[in-house]
Formats: sequence, structure tokens, C-alpha cells
Amino acid sequence: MAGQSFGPRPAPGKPEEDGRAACAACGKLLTSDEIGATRKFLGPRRTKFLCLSCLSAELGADPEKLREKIEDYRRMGCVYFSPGPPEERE
Amino acid sequence: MLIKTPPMGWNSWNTFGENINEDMIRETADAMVSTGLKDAGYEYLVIDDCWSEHGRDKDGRLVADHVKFPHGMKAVADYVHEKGLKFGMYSCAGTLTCARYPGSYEHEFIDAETFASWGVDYLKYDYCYHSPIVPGPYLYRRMGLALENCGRDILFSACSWGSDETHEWIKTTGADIWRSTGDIFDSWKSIRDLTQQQEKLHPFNGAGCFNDMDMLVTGMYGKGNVGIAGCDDVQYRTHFALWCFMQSPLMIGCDVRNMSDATKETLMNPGLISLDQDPAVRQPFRIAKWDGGYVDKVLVYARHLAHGELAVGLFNMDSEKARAQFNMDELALPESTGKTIEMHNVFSGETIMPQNGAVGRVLEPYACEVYRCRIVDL
Repeated sequence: MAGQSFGPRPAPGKPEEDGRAACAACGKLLTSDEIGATRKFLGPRRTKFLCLSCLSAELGADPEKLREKIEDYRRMGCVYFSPGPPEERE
Repeated sequence: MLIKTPPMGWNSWNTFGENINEDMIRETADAMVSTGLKDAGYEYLVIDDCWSEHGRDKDGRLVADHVKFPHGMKAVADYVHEKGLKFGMYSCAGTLTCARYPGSYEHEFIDAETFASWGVDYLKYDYCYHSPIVPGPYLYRRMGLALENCGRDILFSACSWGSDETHEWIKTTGADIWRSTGDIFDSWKSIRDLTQQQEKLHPFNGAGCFNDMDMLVTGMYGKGNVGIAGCDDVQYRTHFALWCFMQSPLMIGCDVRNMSDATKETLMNPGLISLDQDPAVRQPFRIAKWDGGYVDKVLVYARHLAHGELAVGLFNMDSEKARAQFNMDELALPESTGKTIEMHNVFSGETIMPQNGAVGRVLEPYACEVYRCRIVDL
């Protein structure tokens, strides 16, 4: 079960658009969950991230299944997914 | 040295995650015996994260979750031992485990003593929530010393996912195996990625500290904690064959109480297990890496085995039928040596010989062929 060391968590609240990373495949601006999901499912050392749709395609998985997994891992305390309420995670 | 070949067993994480309890663990122990897994060599039953209370007791000791394990861990360990199996548990080098239960940071010696008092034989030691100012080698050495001084032989399974150049320092820590990859998920993409990640780390594998490519997903079919896409039986068989060929620990991740016949057949393939457990513990080497065609779509590996034998594995990693081939001089056996190989297929039992100094086989999508080879006169 991989995670990462202590460090700053993604700030709650919607970040400024120009400060957000973009999907390496389609260019969509990414949420902190999508960055976390890329690290979780494709490896902690990833520096290029994918949106949920492109990540699902890459993994051959249903996007809904990945959403479900993200919530499961968040509940279990995974450091890749910030624990705040949904409206604070975009 | 506690082990001479990679450990084999079962771990709760891949399927069950936090949904663990003593009834399930006892049933799993029963199934490991009744299905024949134990006789095939799977001896460790390991409980992963989420087994403890969220706080330590007044003496600073870890405490098993009273709801999940009402009779305590010693009782669980005793049951597992009565089945002729060994018992493994989990902790973390950080202040918290990955699921935010108490970690062993600055509790290494007291935790090792606790594990020993419960009869633990194996400790998986994760790397979440570790201090950014205390280096990983220091953390793993401290637990290594704690385990070696706890009064019981406990296999030390380091799990820092290859972070912080783990391969450069892990053999200084007393670890018996080390996680050389990121986490596995139940998808072909994950299996393929981990196989590629492993390639540059083959030189670090061997007796004394085995490279751990993570637990197996064979037989999960997209269900459970790390189930995201699932694989078919051909992909699971190739996954298992790759892990055996690389001499990774073989820790089953599916629910062994409900295995399909195909899953049993794969996980208990004696030919593959004998490659994983080969006592010579030699490094695999990649051959036939074409640059005009398949490079990473078809993998051809070889490995020297004990008693002068060779293993050869042909792996189609792609979704299209492909031809795998190699020349005998790539195995250091050109015609001038007067020798060739007799190739025994570990799945079909078929024996084949190279033709005109080469071997070529057509592989179905995601399929593999693995051979144990004997050197014979031309």
C-alpha cells in the first residue's frame, strides 16, 4: 500500500485555474483527486497526470469504478485524497 | 539468513482492505490447507493494514481491534500455527500506517516485542507518514535491529515501494524482501507497468533480500480492494508466470475461500513454482529485444537454474497475436558449442527442440510459454 511522506496536502477550496495542472492526454484542468488517482493507480513517482476519463481508459477501467475506489481509499485514510467534503475538492 | 528462496503465502490487502476479521482469517487458513495451497508451498498468512485499534494501550503497546479480533492476535496466530502455517502482520515506518492506524515510528523495539509475543513470523513494514527529516535507511535499520533482537525469527518484508533509491540501501537493513515496485492493482496495465519497472532492478534481486513485485492479483477478477478493471485467466496466468520467472515473493491476493479452477491451476502450477523457488537464485536476463518490432510487446527472458538447467520464458504483453523468437547464441549456446537445449513446457508438458539454431513460437494475446530446459548434445 503506497502513499507518501508528510507534506503539504492540496489546499482545500478551488485553486486558481492558471495554477492547476492539466491532463497529460487531453489537456483538461485537473482536480486534486485526479492527481491523487494518477499517483495511486499508476505509481507514486508520476509527474504527468491524467483526468479521470483518460486514466480510466489507460487502466481499462470504468470511470465510475475509479470514483468508487477513490472514495473507498479516501475513507481509509489514503494520503493521495484530501479528506474534506466534495465541494472543497474541486 | 532466514529464507533462501522467496516467501510464498497469502495477504489480506488486495481483496479485503480494511474488511478483515478473525473469522475470515480462520476460514482463509482453513482454505489454504484444504485447497492444497499449503502443500504447494504457500506457508505465510499475512494480515495487512487496519488490524489495530486507533490508539496504543497505557504501556504504549499496539492493540488488536476488539471488534475485528475479539480474541486477540495471539489466538489468531495460534490458530494459523495449528494449521501448519506461519503468521504475518503489518506495521509502518511512519507515525501512522497508510490507513492512519498507529505506526511503529519510535516504537520499533516495543512493537517487535509485541509481535514476537503474539507468535508473528513475518512483518510487512510500510512507508506511509514517515518523517521527511529521518532517512528511510535509518527507519528500516532500526526496525531490522528490533526484529533481530526480539527473540523470535520474524521475516522482515520492507515495503517502501522502491522510493528514495531503496535498492541502494535496503540490504543494510536486515530486510529479507523489499518492495521494488509501486502498488499493484487488478488490471493488465498495472501488471505490465510493474514488470517494466522491475527490469532495471533485476541485478539487485537475490538470496539475502528478494525483490518483491507486490502481491498477486491472480483470481481477483476485478473484485475487492485493489480490483479496478480485472483480468482474464490468460492474463492472470502470464502475470503469475512473470512473478515466478523474476523470483518475486508469491503472496496470493485473491479470496482463497472461493477460487475458480483456473485460479487454482495457475497458482499451484508446480513447474512455475519450481522456477520461483529455484535454489540457485540467479538473475534473469532479457534476450531478443528487437528494435524493429516488438521491443516491449513481447518479452523473452532466460535464467540459469540449479544443476545446469535453464529457464526460458516467452511473454506476449500485448492485445494482438505475436511471434516470439530468439537465436541459440543469445543463450550463449551457438552451434560451435556442440550443444542445444531440450525445452519442457511447464504448462502443457510438451517437449520441443530449437530448429536451425533458433526458437520461434506464436503467442496468443497476453499469453506466455515457459520452459524448463536441459542442455543436451546437438
